[in-house]
Amino acid sequence: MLKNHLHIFNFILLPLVIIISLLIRSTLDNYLNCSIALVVNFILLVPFEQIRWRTILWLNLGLIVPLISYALSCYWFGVIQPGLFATKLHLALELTLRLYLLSITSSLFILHLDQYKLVNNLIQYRLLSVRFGFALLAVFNSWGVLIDEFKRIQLAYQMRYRKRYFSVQIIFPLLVNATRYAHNLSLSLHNRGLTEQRSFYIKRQKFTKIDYLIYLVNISIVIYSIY
Amino acid sequence: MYQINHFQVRYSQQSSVIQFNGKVSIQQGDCVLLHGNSGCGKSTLLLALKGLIPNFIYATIAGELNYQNKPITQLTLQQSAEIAYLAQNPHQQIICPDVFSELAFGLENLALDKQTIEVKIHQILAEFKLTNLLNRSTATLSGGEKQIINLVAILLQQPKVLLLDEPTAFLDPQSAQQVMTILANYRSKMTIVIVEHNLAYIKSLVDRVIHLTDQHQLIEMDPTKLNWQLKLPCLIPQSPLKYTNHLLKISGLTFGFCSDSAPLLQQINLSIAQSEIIGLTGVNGCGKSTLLKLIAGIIPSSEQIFWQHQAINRLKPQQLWHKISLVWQNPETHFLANSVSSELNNNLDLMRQFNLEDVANSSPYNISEGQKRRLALAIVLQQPSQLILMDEPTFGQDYQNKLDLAQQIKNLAEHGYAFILVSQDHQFLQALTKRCYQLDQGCLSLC
Repeated sequence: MLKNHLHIFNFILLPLVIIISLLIRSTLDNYLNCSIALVVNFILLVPFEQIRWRTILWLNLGLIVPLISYALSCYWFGVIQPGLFATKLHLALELTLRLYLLSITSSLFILHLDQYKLVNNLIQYRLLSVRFGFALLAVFNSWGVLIDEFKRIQLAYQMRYRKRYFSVQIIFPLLVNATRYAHNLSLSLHNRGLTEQRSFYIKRQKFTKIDYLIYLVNISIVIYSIY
Repeated sequence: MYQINHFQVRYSQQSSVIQFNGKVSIQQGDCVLLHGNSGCGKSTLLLALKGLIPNFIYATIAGELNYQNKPITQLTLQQSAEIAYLAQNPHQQIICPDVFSELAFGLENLALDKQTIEVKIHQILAEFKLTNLLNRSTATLSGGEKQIINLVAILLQQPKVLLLDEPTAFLDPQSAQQVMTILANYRSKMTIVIVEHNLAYIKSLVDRVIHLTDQHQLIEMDPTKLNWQLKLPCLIPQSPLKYTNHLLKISGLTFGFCSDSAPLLQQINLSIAQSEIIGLTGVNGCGKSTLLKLIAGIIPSSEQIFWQHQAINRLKPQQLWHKISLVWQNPETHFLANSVSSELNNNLDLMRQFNLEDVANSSPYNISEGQKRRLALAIVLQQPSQLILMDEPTFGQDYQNKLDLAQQIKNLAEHGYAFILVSQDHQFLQALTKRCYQLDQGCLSLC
């Protein structure tokens, strides 16, 4: 399947191209082009059955309040430069749309990223040291355990003081837990003999012609949008 | 292989020195049990045998600890790779997102090629009938499965020495037995040094016992003189009450997380009276902890659980927590302050009751495992409650700590507290309870 052969770095590089384009030129035409590029790239990279619809929905819902606040701030406090043919509403909508596209572009690809594959490739391309790369990977994997621990400590606190809300008091045990976890993980990495002179079961991915073609199309869209 | 002679360790920023007096050697092919009371320094010695102290964990050492006639401080990378170490917490040793990459990780560090890695992994998984785990995500493995994968991962590297720090502490009896079967198969191929509180599991494995006394003496002990089957005395509370005053009643409770799969709990009926202690056992993942969370109101339930004839789903959690308390499996979950006395609001009576006066000024994280367990119970008892739920209270506890804890529970029950104890430790439950239930495939039955 094509999607499995596309390079994992595309998950970082393609949104980066879109973000650069969004930052360079703030016009509705450019936003439209970027949106199309975003959707096409996403469909190209992420298999349909792996799309995390619920998370995307929550992400969009979570953005509603900050975006509305941002739009209102731009509308009330925005200043139109003399000589520009635009209204305050136009300015507010444009800036809000840009903020939304920036947020969704960066988070959508990160959400669907295979972290193991990425770290493995970064190490093999020598963009990350073995020690740092595997430590990073272990941290990614421990995220679920740490969230469980957070929930347990919070519940223990709530039951102890018969309260229903979050308290900063639980930060101390959380820090202790996270530190101990990190210590044990580093021991585990050492115990398994982690070394720079290692082989890799999963070899690094090579950029194919299709990858280059995708970059070419994306960069062309950016150049077309800007000029 | 190892020579230990009046060895000492002092962790940085700690004034006390952990001493290992006496002269002991470990020969190639030995299977040694490191025996001693909780907190005497067994785990520290294991870390030193691996060379983690002082090469990895900052500590100062004195005396003699040699590996193959060279000081442990001069351990080469190659020698370090010959010594494998398995810690007690299976969750905190997993590095990769799936079982295959987890097993391949160590072999990749030996710079083996792809084909050899594949062959070795398939061979070992077939040997221990674990092929079904191959494509699983490590996040979905149970504690027992994780520990087995950790063990297999280090065995794949073919170490000469295997150091095991309470490998069964977090496991149910079935998983513990599986770990022991794997170890028995590799027994003749390597030197094993093991720290373990559940002596019954390792009886057939061990051929030497080194005892670490409270006076920090390392003594060679005759394995036949060690009591491998320590049993707790009967500690069932002598209550004047006839268990007529029912506090909690569960009738026909059925619960599942997914509507499309079979429910986790089916038609559960249970009642508990004042001063009563009930035991609940079952394999990992059978729903014991879920039942406790339902009783504690952490997971919402429908009208099947009643607190003194009132459905608990009609009570606010804060109201319910005035009556029911939960002691979590990991006692550290309860710690919020930086000293034992602060945790207990300087309540001297409570500290005396739970033998915590000596460590009043210590950080709760630095006290022994038994003291941590007692402190967690004391913290819970500061608030008024009638029913105390305890999730795996004996995990990682030695015999003396279990005995102390059982004694405390008995005393509290005699003062009117009711207990539901969820544990894999049948012996502990037998010592304390008249009624013990087994949760199997969602159904509760007396055992």
